Amino acid sequence: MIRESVGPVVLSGGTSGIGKATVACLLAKGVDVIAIGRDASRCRSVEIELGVRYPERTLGFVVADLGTTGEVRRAAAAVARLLQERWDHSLSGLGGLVNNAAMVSTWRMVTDEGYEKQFAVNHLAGFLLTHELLPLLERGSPGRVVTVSSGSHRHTAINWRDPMLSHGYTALRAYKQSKLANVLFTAEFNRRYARTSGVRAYAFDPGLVRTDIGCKSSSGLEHLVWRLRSRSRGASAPELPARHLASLTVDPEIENPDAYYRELDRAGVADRAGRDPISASRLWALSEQLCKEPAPVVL
Amino acid sequence: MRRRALITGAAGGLGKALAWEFASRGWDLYLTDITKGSLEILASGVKRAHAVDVLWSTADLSSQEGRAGLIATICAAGLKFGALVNVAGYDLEGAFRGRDQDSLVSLMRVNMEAGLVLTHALTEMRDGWEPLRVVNIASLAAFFPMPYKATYAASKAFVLSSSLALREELRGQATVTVLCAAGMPTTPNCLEAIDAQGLMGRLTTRNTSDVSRATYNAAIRGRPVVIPGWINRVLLMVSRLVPKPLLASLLGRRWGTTGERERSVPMSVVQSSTQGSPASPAARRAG
Repeated sequence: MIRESVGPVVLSGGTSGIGKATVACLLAKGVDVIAIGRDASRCRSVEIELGVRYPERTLGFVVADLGTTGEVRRAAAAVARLLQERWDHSLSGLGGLVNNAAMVSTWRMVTDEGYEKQFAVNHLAGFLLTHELLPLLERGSPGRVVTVSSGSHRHTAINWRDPMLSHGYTALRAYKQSKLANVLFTAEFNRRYARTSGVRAYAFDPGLVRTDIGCKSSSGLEHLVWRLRSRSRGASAPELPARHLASLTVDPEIENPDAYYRELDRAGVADRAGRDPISASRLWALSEQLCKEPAPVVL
Repeated sequence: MRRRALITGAAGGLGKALAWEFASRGWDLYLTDITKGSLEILASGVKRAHAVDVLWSTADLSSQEGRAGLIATICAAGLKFGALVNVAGYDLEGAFRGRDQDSLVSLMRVNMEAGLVLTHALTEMRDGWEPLRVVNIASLAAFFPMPYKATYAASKAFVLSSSLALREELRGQATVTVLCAAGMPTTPNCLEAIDAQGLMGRLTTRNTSDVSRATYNAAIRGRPVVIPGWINRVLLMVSRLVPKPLLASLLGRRWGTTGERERSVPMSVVQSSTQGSPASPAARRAG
């Protein structure tokens, strides 16, 4: 059961893994989706594949690489445009936002802005996309913001002196930091907006899932460990977390709605570092600073 | 007093990392590269993260006009510099006969002339009495004659040799530090190249940010040469025991198969700041 006349849900990273499975679950629940993907041809093929399976629903794709703040802003504008063009004007808002796009990289890569890529894609992109789409989410049912975090957010801390991990970068350290950032962002979002806007944020822990996030740009030992872990018995197919992720995003009633950290269908408890309000507001200020609109200076 | 660094080839992988390193140490920046879009994005990122002033302009350093234009722009703005970081440089894929003559000359212009001309100009525009910190980017390839990368390796040997010589000549006015790195993981292509080498690729590769930090520290301390990674230093030491003609023949065989393959594919330009490691045919694209 879903909320009545719910607007389309925006989901980033919709062409593979949990993202693609969640798009399918949302469509199956009778919710339209605007998905964001990096690769135009993969977007096209998922759009066709799911369009055939759910012909009564509307699925739109926005092609964008969420690595830079400029691209995130462009993606948000494209979402707003698409919403206006393809959806009924009575549904002028969004039904929800799923910040799902994430990556892992063995070597330290940076975005065009020079930001460490896991921090930029896994955290900043979701932070900024939420801000940009907030007016549309408020006009929605109102929509929820669900950020896909991970149990990896435990036993780590934000490196305040060097959040871009210029020194001592390892793939796991950067990944854990970015997933902790997801939890802190969620907590701070609720503190700032939940009461005034009616939009609530959740951090979703999908558990160990068989996807190839850890294999896309990793090599050697990390690649091997990731493969073994994601192929192990404890790992689930992406459809399982996808079902719960879709429910968390659009179901009218969820159990214990005040608990912002969710482990599949249950309310979980985030790590102590993820519950620290000082870290949360500090990360918020840093993220705002890093996402500021640029003022051009040319000589 | 605030100091400013001029960084050429700033939009490439190593250029970005060095720009961040200098900014994180409180330096104002002047960035140049050949394309506008990426410079603008980088400048806005650096400014948000660090409280420094970042100026930029585009320049084609392969031409006399481009270099003169850049120097004129800087002069007109009345800027003074504490550091010059010559990152602009590139390699072309493909064997010698597969490249056209103009592109060979253009490569030498950027890799060799640009750094020299800017060093000459900026020594005059340095900030106060402090020596100008000059950082030149050579490569491990600078130490070897490299078949299939002959022009690139020789141009880097020029950078290495002139850096060491000018360092003595300019004592008091400038310190010259030269970076001789192996491959660095900056683009998906580079990652593939590093992966393709297996263990050797992993051992010789260093994160660009770590290389940048080592380079910055060496420049501030006035050290002559930076070779990141102990395994690269060992490889270099061992290779010095081998006579140069034999070394060229060995490297030629290692690179040869890749060179043959490349002759059949269209030539492509590798972005700024490309380094090659003699131990790694695939690292040609890394940098």
